[in-house]
Amino acid sequence: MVYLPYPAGLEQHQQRLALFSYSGLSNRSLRATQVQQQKSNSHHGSSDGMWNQSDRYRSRLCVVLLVPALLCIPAFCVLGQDVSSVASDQARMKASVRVVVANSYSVHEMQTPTGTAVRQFVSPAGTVFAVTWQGFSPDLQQLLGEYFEEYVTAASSQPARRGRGVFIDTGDLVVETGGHMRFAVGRAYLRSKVPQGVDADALR
Amino acid sequence: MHCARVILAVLASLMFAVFLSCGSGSGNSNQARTKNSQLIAVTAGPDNNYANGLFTTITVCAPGSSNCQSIPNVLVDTGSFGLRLLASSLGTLGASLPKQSSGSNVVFECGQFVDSVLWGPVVSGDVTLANETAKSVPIEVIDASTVPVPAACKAIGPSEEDVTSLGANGILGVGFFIADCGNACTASSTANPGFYYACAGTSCSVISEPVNQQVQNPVALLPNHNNGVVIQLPAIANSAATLGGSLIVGIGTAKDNSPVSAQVFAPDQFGNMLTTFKSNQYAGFLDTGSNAYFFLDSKTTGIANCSSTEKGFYCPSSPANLSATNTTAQGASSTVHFTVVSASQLFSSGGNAVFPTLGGPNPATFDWGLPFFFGRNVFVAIEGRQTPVGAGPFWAY
Repeated sequence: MVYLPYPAGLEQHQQRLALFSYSGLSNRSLRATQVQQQKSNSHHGSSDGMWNQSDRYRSRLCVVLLVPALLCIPAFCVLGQDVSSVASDQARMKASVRVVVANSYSVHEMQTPTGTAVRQFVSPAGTVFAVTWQGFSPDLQQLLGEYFEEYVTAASSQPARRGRGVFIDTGDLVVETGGHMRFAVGRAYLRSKVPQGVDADALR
Repeated sequence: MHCARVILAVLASLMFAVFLSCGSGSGNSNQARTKNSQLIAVTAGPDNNYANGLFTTITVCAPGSSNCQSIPNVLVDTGSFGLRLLASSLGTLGASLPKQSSGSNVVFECGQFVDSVLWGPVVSGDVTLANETAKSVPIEVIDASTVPVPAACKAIGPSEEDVTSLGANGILGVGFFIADCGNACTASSTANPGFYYACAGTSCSVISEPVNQQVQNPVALLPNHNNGVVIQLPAIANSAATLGGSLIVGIGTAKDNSPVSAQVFAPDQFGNMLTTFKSNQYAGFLDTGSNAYFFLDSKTTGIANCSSTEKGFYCPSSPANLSATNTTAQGASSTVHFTVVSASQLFSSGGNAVFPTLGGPNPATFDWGLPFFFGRNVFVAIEGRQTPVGAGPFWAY
């Protein structure tokens, strides 16, 4: 009866992905291409092989859209990271993905096997500037990436008067959670990365 | 003289009734406590800093024995399912509560709340509530001191492990589900949300946990009044130090718990009804474990967020009078009027723990927290259990 939470199952995962036929594919491809063009001359400051490899793969991500096994690099994180990290999340969370293009950002929708709906909001600059979730509590360490520790620290030290839910605003990082057992709702975003004209409160 | 004696006797009985119904509270309920009920009170809690915390005292015994411990300051929570107690609150009884096993391993739980995780072994104990005893109830003991919280559990949120972080000695989840996780945790795949672990020493792995072995809502295991609870709290206009009320067990099982004049709100599969605010619909729920009206956001409500130490609450410049309508697919509908006053103003006068006008933001949901319960009898019916107004799960008020 014992099993490990995250070992195998990629094949199954890919099958699940294959079941999705995306509407709006051309739109997304177009946006993805734009993203790639915008990012083509900029790197993340790190020049190690992993990042370079990810840059190469980004074009595949953008054109073919979602080849998760190739992009499964667990070290990648999400909030504040490049769009390719969405695929890392998707792979780690064994999630299926659908992409919706909005006016000034695109939304990558995943459903984890536990049924939790996760949405990652990607700016025209190709950065995940917000993430929302609804359902069983997700792996926030994965979704918040480098901001997870900041979240835990702030959540642990928020004024004791608030019972249930978290409301954290550290200046740049905003995390709000609520709900009840079996139904966690949350939204996290980085003020500095929210595209101009986008109302972060409206992200769901 | 006779007359005076009668008055004295009446006065004495009234005072006794008030004492019974209010305990340490300043509530104005004047009914004598019935047999199938027990005192609940809104207080500042064991750490003396809780706002709108609803607490009660429960008794836990080693199964079938008279080795018992009375545990005060347990948070009464309609937004969770099952009993969780800090190891420190159990004292010496802790060692006498048998641990649940899975083969040769001990079963631990990663109790998942929206703001934290509670980690510790699953044990069995007899739980006495409202003068009835539920036998051999699976309970979570919150204790991260022997087996550390696994990484996958920590990845959900901060672990609360003591009175200071929890603000209570434990949480009594009396929501409408019988088990805390339900069918999802019986999965032997990644569909399992990872509430239950088997630990060999300090090495733990997620397991498939049968529903009836999961941590259980003790009300569902009571011998008689086991189809739900009524949370009864008096109305209160302004902030106060304490407020007493009743946790009544059973729905339509005694004189004090008839639901026939209440409107029934059945939840969807996620445990929510629909709440309409300014023409938009949101997921809504009734939750004594939420200590304010937590709803939507500053932009949608037009109410300013607090800054500094009151972050997480609303701070309107003047009291905001609002209304929202709860509905269900079955046609129930109820418009609720409520007022939100600046938390900064409310908290500025020290010594209070009861805040009927406390509100705060909550992403895209409508959480009717404890202030909603003031002045209402709220019924919480357990899934699959019959009541005079239909089978649970539902809320009624």
